[in-house]
Amino acid sequence: MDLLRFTTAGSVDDGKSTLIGRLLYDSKNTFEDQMAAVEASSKKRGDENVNLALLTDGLRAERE
Amino acid sequence: MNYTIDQLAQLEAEAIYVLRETAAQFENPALLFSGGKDSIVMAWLARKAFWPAKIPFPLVHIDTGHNFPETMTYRDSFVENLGARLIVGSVQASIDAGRVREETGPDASRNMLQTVTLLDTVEEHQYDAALGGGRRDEEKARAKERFFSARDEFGQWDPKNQRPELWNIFNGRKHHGEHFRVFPLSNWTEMDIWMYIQREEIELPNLYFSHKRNVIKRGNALLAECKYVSPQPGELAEEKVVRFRTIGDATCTGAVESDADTLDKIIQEVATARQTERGTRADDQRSETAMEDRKKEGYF
Repeated sequence: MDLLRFTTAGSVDDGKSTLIGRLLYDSKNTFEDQMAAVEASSKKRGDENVNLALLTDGLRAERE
Repeated sequence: MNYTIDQLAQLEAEAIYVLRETAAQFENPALLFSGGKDSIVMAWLARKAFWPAKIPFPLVHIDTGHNFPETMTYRDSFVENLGARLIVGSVQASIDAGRVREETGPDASRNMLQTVTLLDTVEEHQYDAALGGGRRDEEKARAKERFFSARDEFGQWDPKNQRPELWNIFNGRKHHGEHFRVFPLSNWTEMDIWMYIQREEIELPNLYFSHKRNVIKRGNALLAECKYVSPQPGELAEEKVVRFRTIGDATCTGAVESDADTLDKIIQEVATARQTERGTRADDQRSETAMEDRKKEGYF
């Protein structure tokens, strides 16, 4: 197994977290309970689709 | 000649570097030891980091008084084999002294109360750094914490006030009364821990291996029936073949049904697991940001 180091840089709301979340999702690196939690909070926030950015934005301040 | 090292050796080198950096930058560090696999690996690495000298700081166990007896037996023999010094901070003593009030109700757990005992122990012994076995893959709040995590004089973590960590430069500068939490295993995953335990042939508490036990289904978790957990009306204790993926306070650590009784089988199981290990922890499921909120109060 190799270690992958991945960095994103960009402005606020450019989609850094969404990109990382999508890569985690597509590479099957998310667990069922994590996805369930993300789905539940997306619904609570009123997002239309599952917001994959929530996989990495876990802190209160980041969800603001 | 090939100088590349595999990911376990990389993680090991990183953790040993952080442990040595902690010993170098702080006057009075301590290693938080719970008897769980992560703190066992961390103590193991600490021994390697300073070998042949002894570990230059004590192991501190914050004892909720609600431990599995297996954890306590294991703790004492492990510490003795390591030749380390053990300091115990007792949650029961904090309750008796009126520092905290015990939760009541079926969900009652001493998990939250540990924070006060931990901060009291840090203050009593004047520790300026507490090494913890937290990993970033464990929980979303832990994922955002630095290797060197500054805590204010009340032990609180402020996610918006964290220091940059560039390359291998760690900044442990602090004001009087503040302390640091240091997490040498930050970049490890559950799988890395297991593969390392196998590679180093580290002995573990038998709770991690599959065994027969009376368990009670509560919510999504299977809690072990013991002195501190008894069936509520409508609940039934059943004997099942289980093992624990994490070990903590007996009142909030759930078991999983499993027949993995060897390290090889556990690694197989972890590789195919579809739930995170903290999915069995009742303490994280109290709210969406349960871990973050506890960390802000001074939890590890």
